[in-house]
Amino acid sequence: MTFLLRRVLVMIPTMLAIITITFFIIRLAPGGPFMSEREIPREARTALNAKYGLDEPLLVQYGRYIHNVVRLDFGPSYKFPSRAVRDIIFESLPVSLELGIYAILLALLIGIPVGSVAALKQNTVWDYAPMSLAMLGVSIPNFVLGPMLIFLFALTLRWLPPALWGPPQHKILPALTLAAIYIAYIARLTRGGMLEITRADFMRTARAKGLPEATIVTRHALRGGLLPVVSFLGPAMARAVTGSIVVEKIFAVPGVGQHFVNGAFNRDYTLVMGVVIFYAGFLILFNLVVDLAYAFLDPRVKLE
Amino acid sequence: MTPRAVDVGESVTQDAVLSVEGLQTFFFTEEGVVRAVDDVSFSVGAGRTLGIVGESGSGKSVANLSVLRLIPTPPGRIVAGHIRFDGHDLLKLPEREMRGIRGKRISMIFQDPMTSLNPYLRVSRQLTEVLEEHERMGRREARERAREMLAHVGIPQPERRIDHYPHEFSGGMRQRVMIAMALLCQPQVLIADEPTTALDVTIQAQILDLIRDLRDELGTAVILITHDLGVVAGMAHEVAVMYAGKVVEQAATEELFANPRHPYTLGLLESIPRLDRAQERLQPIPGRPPSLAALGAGCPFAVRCPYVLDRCHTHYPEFRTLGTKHRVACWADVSASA
Repeated sequence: MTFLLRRVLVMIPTMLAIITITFFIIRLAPGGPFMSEREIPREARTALNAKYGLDEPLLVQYGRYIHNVVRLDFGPSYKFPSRAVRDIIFESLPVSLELGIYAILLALLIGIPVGSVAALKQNTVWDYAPMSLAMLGVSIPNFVLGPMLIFLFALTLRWLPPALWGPPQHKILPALTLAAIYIAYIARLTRGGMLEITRADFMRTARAKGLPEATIVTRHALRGGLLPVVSFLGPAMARAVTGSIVVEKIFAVPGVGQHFVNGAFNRDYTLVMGVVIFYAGFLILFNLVVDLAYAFLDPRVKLE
Repeated sequence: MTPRAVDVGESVTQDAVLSVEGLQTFFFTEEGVVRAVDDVSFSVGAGRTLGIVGESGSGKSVANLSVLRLIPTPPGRIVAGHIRFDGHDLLKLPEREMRGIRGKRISMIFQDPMTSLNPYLRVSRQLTEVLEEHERMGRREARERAREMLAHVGIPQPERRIDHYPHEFSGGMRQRVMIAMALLCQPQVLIADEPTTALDVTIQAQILDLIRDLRDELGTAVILITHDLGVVAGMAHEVAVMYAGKVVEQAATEELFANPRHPYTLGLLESIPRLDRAQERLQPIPGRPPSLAALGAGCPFAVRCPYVLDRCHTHYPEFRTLGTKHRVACWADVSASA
């Protein structure tokens, strides 16, 4: 319990550092929220800047922002002034979350069995073929894979819709595109972890006990063999939820990612800040979950 | 008393629970064929203990892993030999039936109880799974039996300790857990591979006592693998000395210590400290064990042997039999000079 409390307390300075760094970095970028191609009259711009306090010294703005964030007020979007940043994020977050969860589930469902088989049949075709494929999965960027999948399954075979977010068949291609790299990573991590475990003395003991091979693998090997996967899962989950920007763009999925991209283009300071804070929060949260899972899986790990 | 063969040597071979004959286990590596076990024979009877002594790499562990067919294949392979147990040749048994023998009728305990127990599973699980597999026991029954066994091997508070993880036990206690695990199904043969090497000296004696007591109580045949002649002296009825994949000398324990006939055995005995002799220095065996991938036709000990003869380099000696159960593979006729 003290472990949890301490971890939650540590989140505060971490988040503060992230907020501070992002706040000043984004202000370093040239331009501002009210400079667009369409010329706004000087008086209007001055009035807007004054309204949002953008004419005040940076430190004053920073102080006010922190003051608001503590009360979970991320301000209005500069681009869509009628809407609060919080509402924009809450509206699109479930979509990104859903897509991310599908991708990770897909990655676990495919990656773990493939990696296990590769380890157990080391240096056979069952090892080489999937591992080469995994290498490919790591190497192909998703902005290449996405269009390829669209071309194959949507335009040529006409099995699946090419874009938009809707009924389940819409979710397959974006989830698969997003999952590809995680499938590859998880397969490789599982293989590595399982290979290490199969060399462990206690695996020899398990065999000497006359247990069936299936029991040996599932009961004795998987648990320790999957530890590398588990520790990868925290950042992976956070990245799948937050890092689906490109995939969301390709498949026109209305997730958080589009707001991040558009926000950055538009110098929509508050929107970008809001998204960054949520992303960071996710990352920290999932890392905490992983540590808890670790203690659950490995009895030697004590959370203190 | 029931009528029995009078000749001790003969009765032992007849009553052998397990006998290994002409076993060859090779490892096919990139550096060449490693003849880890090359034409090794030994046997052990019920309630008896056979000590197998040799330095690391002499093939003693590989020979015994071969008995349970636990050699990692590839690169290892049992090339030839017979392993007779209960009227079967274990090397000819289908894997399914072999599994019914491992852990049930022939059990094994290993050197390092720290790494030989699964750190991720409670002791209870690691014990009950044996009973569930081999005795078809239910969870509750298996747990009760496991608890009894822990108590039997001297683990205090077994009711509480059974739910602990291996890392919560001390080294000696862990080895007790291993022994309990190995004896759950009351096997006919227990193979103990360096069971005390990783333990403190004071604990070593306790563990050896425990193995001996359980052997006498259950009538288990024990194969005790060790590099420590001291361990063998107090435990084994018979000793086989292994060098470079071969048994070089075999005899009843007292006979071997009193009348060692192989230069390697002599060397081993001279390199252990003795309290009953005023000795300035221990006599180590010069040189190192040979690479098992590059063995010639001769005796592998020849290069280190003080009694070496010309033919030692070209011809491997056949066993010579000295007395009922004493055999030695050496061209030279050497004996301990008192």
